[in-house]
Amino acid sequence: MTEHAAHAEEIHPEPKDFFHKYVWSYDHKVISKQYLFTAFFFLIVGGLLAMLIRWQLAYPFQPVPVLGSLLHGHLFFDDSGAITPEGYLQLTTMHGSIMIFFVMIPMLVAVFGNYLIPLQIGARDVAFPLLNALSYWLYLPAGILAFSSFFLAKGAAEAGWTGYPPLSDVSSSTPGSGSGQIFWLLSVFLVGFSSILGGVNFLTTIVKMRAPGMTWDRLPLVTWSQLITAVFQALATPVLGSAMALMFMDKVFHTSFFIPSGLQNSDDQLVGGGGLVGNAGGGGHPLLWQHIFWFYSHPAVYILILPGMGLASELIATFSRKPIFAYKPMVGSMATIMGLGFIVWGHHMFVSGMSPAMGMGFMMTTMLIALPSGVKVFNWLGTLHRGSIHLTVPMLHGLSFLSMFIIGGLSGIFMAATPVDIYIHDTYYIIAHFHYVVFGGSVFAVFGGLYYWFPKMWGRKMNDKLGYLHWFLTFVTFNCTFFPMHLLGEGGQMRRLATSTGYEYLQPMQDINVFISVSAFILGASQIIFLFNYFYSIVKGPKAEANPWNAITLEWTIPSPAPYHNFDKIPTVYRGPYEYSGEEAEKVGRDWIAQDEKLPA
Amino acid sequence: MEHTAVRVETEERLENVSFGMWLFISSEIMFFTPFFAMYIIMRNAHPELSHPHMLNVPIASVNTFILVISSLFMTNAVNASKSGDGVKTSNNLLLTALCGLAFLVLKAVEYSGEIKEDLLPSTNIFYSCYYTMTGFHGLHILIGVIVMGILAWRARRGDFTKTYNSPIEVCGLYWCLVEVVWFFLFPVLYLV
Ligand code: HEM
Ligand SMILES: [Cu+2]
Repeated sequence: MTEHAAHAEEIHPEPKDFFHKYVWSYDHKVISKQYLFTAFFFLIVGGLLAMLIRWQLAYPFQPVPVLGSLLHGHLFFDDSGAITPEGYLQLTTMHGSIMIFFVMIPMLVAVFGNYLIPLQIGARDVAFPLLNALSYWLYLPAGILAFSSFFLAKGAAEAGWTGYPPLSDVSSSTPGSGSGQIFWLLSVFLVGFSSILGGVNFLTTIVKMRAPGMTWDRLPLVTWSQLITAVFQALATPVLGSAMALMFMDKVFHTSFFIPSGLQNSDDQLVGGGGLVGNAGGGGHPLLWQHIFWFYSHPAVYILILPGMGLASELIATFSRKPIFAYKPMVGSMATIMGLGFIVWGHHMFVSGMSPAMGMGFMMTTMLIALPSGVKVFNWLGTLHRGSIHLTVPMLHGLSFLSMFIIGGLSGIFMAATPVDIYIHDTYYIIAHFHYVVFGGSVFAVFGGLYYWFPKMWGRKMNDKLGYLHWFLTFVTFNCTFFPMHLLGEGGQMRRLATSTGYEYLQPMQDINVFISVSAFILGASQIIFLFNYFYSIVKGPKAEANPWNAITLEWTIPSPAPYHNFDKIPTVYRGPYEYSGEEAEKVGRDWIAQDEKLPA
Repeated sequence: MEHTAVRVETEERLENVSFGMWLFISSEIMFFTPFFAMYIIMRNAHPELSHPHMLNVPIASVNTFILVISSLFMTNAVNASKSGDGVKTSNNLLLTALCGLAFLVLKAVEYSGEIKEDLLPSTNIFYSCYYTMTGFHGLHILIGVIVMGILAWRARRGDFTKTYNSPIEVCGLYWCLVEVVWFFLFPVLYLV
């Protein structure tokens, strides 16, 4: 049996019927698209929630146009169509949870990981196709669960995406801490399980299934970033699972893991696990939740950025027509970020009550993360330096990633300093910080990736004019929306506070809030251009060739759209992924040479 | 999975499967670790709530013994599947599953004894830990029993051959994990 035949044996044959082709599919490319469309749906939901949040902050307790008059008396609206205080908390909680767990992590990992890993390492599929399908079919019900919690009698969860007890834990504390919180726990648990399975699958795929010649120093950085992210997924996400499990026990079986002894409600009655009145069980620690939660969720923010770094590296190298500057330090810095990422979680808890010595330790480790992050930034700049820069639509997104990540990373270092953080913790400064890294960083990288790999995914091209327009509007309004939030935070406006005008000291800043909201509405509306462009181009876009960007990695050596079995013959790799404008490329008379291309003798 | 008629498993594929399973086991360890960490913190904060031997040690000892025995059957099943003996694989899987079931029944007896004495998850933080940790472990046993039941049926049907038996091997690894977790739970909860 030749090697080629051995590979062919293990691959699933192409299904013929609709159900196995599009619904219960084992094909990593189809699963990637399933994730993509579901994540688009949640992006729209999460985006609408954000619009409502911004309405409330600009025009507190005034009837919401359109949605408010349609839905008054339901969901988050009172009878006049204005947002209620509890409704506002549902909005912030579910906006955060949906965007992190159901949009960004799936987009970055499940969409791009699924599509690109097998193609870039020269494999026919991931290691465990069945498990891959299962991951998606766990993610979807988790999403449905989260979405349906809006329609519960008492509404969705209200305790923030961080779900801090006792608010989340004592079921009577607020309407959303009843069944809404339980739905939240279950959906996060399920989506976490799906993420663990994905991590196991991708790690195995990358470690075990690389094509001959695809050595570790020839692996594209997208795949490297997915590998490192997968370690987080496999090792940190289970910790989130146990946090969810423990709180589930508290709420359903009335244990008191996160409820201290002697906690009283407003009627001076003792409150125990699940909010059981008169249950003196107690004895738990609210802080324990924060430790467990952040032990996962700090690594989770790296799940949210590392794949974006990978995507951006690809865009920046291709459109500078230069090899990535310092490839090995690029990999090393990602690995360092991963290692440090496990020991910095305490920086979210500086004001939660922590011994100063521990605070000091967490401050030091957090500041250390700036080093590998800085290494990456300088290497991207080094890649751009004296490159032949093509300002295509994907490249603009790559550059936006880079510049926005710098701003977000710098504000991160401010907050890492405990004394500073004590002042700005839980203010809009934090909101500005993480939107600069997650939206400014990862979302731009995702958009860039979607534009860049569109020809490979669909065999067609997206419209460039609409692409430039979408990028321009998004980039400008993004900055108008999130930069002023730094100022609000320094002025003391708290996050998750429904009344931006309710405190006298905040009133002078209300104009900023209005400005932010108007920018945010334009930002939201601009995304319609993208969605239109994307879906229209799937059907009507001009046909794309195999390698429209003259790129080097293996996915560009096969036809567009990628055929069912990816590669007719498993390729042999001869060189690194970024050999632009090098000697070998010159020998074939181009400024690029594919990874599996044999040099003429 | 039944897309292909004949399943041939390459050496490579087998390696992938056990590599993946080891990763999954690491995830499981990370899932149980916070439980143990929490338990240690609680024990230190409230030493008055628990003392050695307050739980039903006899039942737990029998359960420990049952799990040890079950691992012998599991080993037999894995070996039998490697030599392509479907019936023997199936029988040993069923015996393992039976051990798992016995474990669960005894656990239920133990729980009901405690519930009769009004010792509930909400009683105090020690019982919260006890029910949660053994409960999630029990859930893993239950999943194992179900999977072994299905695999035993498939083995009897002749699905597994000398060249294709990774599901049995993976199941064996999983069972090993479930046992090891218990070998930690038993002394930590019952004896010290
Ligand atoms: C240079 C690297 C970074 C540093 C030093 C840093 C530091 C911090 C610190 C100290 C906080 C806590 C602030 C507080 O709550 O008082 C924080 C919050 C946060 N960071 Fe970062 N960060 C960095 C990069 C990132 C990246 C890359 C992401 C995500 C892609 C991210 C996402 C977040 C999020 C989501 C929060 C808010 C969590 C919450 O309370 O809801 N950060 N960061
Ligand atoms: Cu953090």
